[in-house]
Amino acid sequence: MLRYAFKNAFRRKNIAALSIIGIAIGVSLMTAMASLSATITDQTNKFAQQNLDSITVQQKGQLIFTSQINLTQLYNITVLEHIEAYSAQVVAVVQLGIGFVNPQLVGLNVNNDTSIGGPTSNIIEGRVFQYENECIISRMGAEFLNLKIGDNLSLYTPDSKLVNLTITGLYETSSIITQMNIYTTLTTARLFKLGFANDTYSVLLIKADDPANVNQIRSEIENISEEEGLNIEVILFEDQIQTITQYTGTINILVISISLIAGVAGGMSIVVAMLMSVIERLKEYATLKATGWQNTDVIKDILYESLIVTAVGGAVGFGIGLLYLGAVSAFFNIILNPLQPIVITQIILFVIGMGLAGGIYPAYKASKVSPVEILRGA
Amino acid sequence: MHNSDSERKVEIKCENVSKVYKLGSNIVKALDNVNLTIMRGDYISIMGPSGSGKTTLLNIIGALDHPTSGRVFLDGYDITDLPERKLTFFRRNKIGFVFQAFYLIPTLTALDNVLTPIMPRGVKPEDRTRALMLLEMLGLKNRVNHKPGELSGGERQRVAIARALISDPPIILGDELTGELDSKTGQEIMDIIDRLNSEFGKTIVIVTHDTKVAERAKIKLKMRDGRINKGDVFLKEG
Repeated sequence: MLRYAFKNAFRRKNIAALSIIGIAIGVSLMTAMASLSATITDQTNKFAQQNLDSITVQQKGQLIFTSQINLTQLYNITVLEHIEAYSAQVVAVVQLGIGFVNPQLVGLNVNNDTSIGGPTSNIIEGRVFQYENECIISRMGAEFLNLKIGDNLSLYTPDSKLVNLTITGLYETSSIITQMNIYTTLTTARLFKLGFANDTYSVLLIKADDPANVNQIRSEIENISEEEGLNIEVILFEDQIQTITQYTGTINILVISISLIAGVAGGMSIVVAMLMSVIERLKEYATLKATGWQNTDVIKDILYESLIVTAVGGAVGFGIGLLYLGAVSAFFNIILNPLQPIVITQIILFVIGMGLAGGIYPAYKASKVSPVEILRGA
Repeated sequence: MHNSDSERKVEIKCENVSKVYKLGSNIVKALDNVNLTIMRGDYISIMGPSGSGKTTLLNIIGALDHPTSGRVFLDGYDITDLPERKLTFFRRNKIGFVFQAFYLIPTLTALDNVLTPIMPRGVKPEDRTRALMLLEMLGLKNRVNHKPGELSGGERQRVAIARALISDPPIILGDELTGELDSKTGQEIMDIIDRLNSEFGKTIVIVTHDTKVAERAKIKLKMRDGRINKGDVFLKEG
């Protein structure tokens, strides 16, 4: 029966081609959106797994680059049980080039950063900075800004002094947030933070010995803060992940909405194509019923034909989606993998759904054909 | 080849069968109290003017339509009130239809067209062998892989006959089966129908306008105004 459906699915080539185009547009959109969504979710999950043991301490009510904390005052926090390592950082917003890119310049102690698994522990090319006129940037940032190791970054401090930093290495991170950071020494970063003394930092990043202990650590830090009157707040990664999850959730809703629109458009094209095909072949279905086909056989045949056309449209659409994603990946230097199981599953379900939804009405109509009409010569 | 009449079994029986159609505000009585008994191995032609009820009768005894009143028996089973799903069983296993306009599937080869009635239940190698045997028997050995568009009218009708025979039904129903053929080809097709009756014992019922075709049958019935004319051979009333 499948063989029969195959032979008839493309009988009217122009109609089949039009419906394939309609479906292909829908599926290519679906491929692109689902792949983008899956990539963001995947990166978020990876980042979450890597950072569930992270705790950030910063000035209460401030953003990371406006926060000021005194590390000497936080000594009692740094010696708490279950804290495996910590790294105090100075964070400034700087201006690159003619001003359309505003990355964060982060000053840190390399040993401390490495102990918490920061970017200095993930150098993939070159070396970590050693001197005050050196820095590292992410590989994605380097590709985006067309920079390489040995190039200089010219930055102006708030009091208009020019600081040239030589790129000594490229790091890799799974976090989209830290992809655009420039890391350098604490001394250099303080040049961009007027009024920052040697024991003044923006944030204190803490790595717990176990993700299970982060809440206990937070509680202890809050107790110390209350007892000692510290103006600080504690942020757990799981608090941040909620915000990120909200963003990815919004993107997923967008994906579902676009997919639904694409599905309706693709579904309509297959309904029209199948309906035209069925109307044209009513006599055939009547004959088949007269020779022993049941209504369910007719329904099955048309659904098979509809699924075959949508499968071809889906394959073409997936191919177009791959090309589009390849172009986006190349242009923005990001990795978009459309061959993730979730994306493939979504597309297969989408195509099957569209094939069944598009074929069901024409199938029903054909199954109701009366063979008597044929014998009457209708 | 037939058994004697006393041993022959009743194949089709119509008891007081009437069929009424509503055409707008008019009521048309297509069949009017028809009584008919057809024995296994009978070869019957039904003639009559257009609108006399020939095709309606063929549809009803072919399990394609229900009578408005009366009862229809097929191979001893009362099929009068059977639902469509059960009627399909009779059409698939007991009846082979041959239509005036052939109604072959243009995208399929002659062989695949013959196999269409059994496709939903899966085509087995022995089905394919039988289809090839039927096509060979009907003189289409070299045309099995040709599509209907590549066949002549007579060849197409022979493919349609092979399709009607694929499930080896005991009854063959033909509706104007030579209507679209020239007289020579029509005679060739009727030779085949004759063989199906004489050599294979098939019960044949054909509806036709063509006197030459009707004359081939052993029992010749005439219809007018939804009734079978009394006095025709082998017609059993009541």
